[in-house]
Amino acid sequence: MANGTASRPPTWLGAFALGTFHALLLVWLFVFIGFRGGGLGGALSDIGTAAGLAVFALIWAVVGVITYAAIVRLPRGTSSGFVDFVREGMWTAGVGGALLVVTVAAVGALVSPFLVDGGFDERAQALGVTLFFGLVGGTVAFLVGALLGGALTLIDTALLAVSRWIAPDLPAPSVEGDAASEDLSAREAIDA
Amino acid sequence: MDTLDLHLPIRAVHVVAATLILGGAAIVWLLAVRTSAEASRAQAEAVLFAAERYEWVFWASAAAIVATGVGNLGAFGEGLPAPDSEWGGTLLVKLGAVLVLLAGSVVRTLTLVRLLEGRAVPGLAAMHHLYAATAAGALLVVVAAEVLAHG
Repeated sequence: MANGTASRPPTWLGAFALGTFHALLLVWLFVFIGFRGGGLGGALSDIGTAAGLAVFALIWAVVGVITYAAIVRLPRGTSSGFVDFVREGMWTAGVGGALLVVTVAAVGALVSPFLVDGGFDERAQALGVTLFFGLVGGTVAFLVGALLGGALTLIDTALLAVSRWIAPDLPAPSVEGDAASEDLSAREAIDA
Repeated sequence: MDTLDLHLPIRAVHVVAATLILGGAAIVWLLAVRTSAEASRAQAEAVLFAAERYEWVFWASAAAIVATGVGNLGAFGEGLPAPDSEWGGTLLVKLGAVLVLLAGSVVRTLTLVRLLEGRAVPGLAAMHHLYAATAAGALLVVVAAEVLAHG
């Protein structure tokens, strides 16, 4: 067990936790605003149970992937700065949101000509409308994603600061001691 | 499968997830609090092993409990009580407790991850407080849920 404690890289755990937290926070906001404003019960009832669970799974997966992508873009083993965190959060969430919408639009563009009855003009018009909404939707998704990503990153940064207050960072290792310090695990440190 | 068919499994998942979150936090807290003083290396490893596994279970359970909790609210349909009713006030308290529990759990998980990566000053003393707080927060949510369900 001694060598099996961290069987997965801890980054996976951190990314899973933060990705899940982000998804749950968005759902929490939807529920809170909907309940305070009224109409939550009707809205949820209209969506339906199975479709609601599917939407939740989609949100969880998309937000999780975007969060993981943002985390792996940060340099490992160093204390990244506040600006780095926010920039990566905004950029990755913006690009992720835009990619999602553009992908859906691209799939729609591929199938829309076959779903429309009529001649070449009608099919070309359906394709054009789908591409237009993909372009506009992708731009809006980038802006919304960047806004949400920035806000979530600010929250993460505040929570990380609380974590560092509870358990302060170890001093940065010296250059000569880098190799040994890389292997320093929490268990070994506890044993010291 | 219609909503009626999903009702029982959704309730079951909701209750099991709450049990895992509360029971798991209590177990890790008890392990950590018994190990924090004069811990041997093996004892400290055992606690960290349990804590790391718990984090995976916690976040998966949190996702399940939120998804099924929203489904439970949807079952009310248009009959969902207003926020200014007594029931609505209790739901807002529960939502607030859930938010604090989730945010606090990010702090707990990040602290454990930094500990496992050797990036934080090691020690189980802070960790057992975090798991105790998690258990207390989860208990508050469970009590609020019980009030909502049974008045």
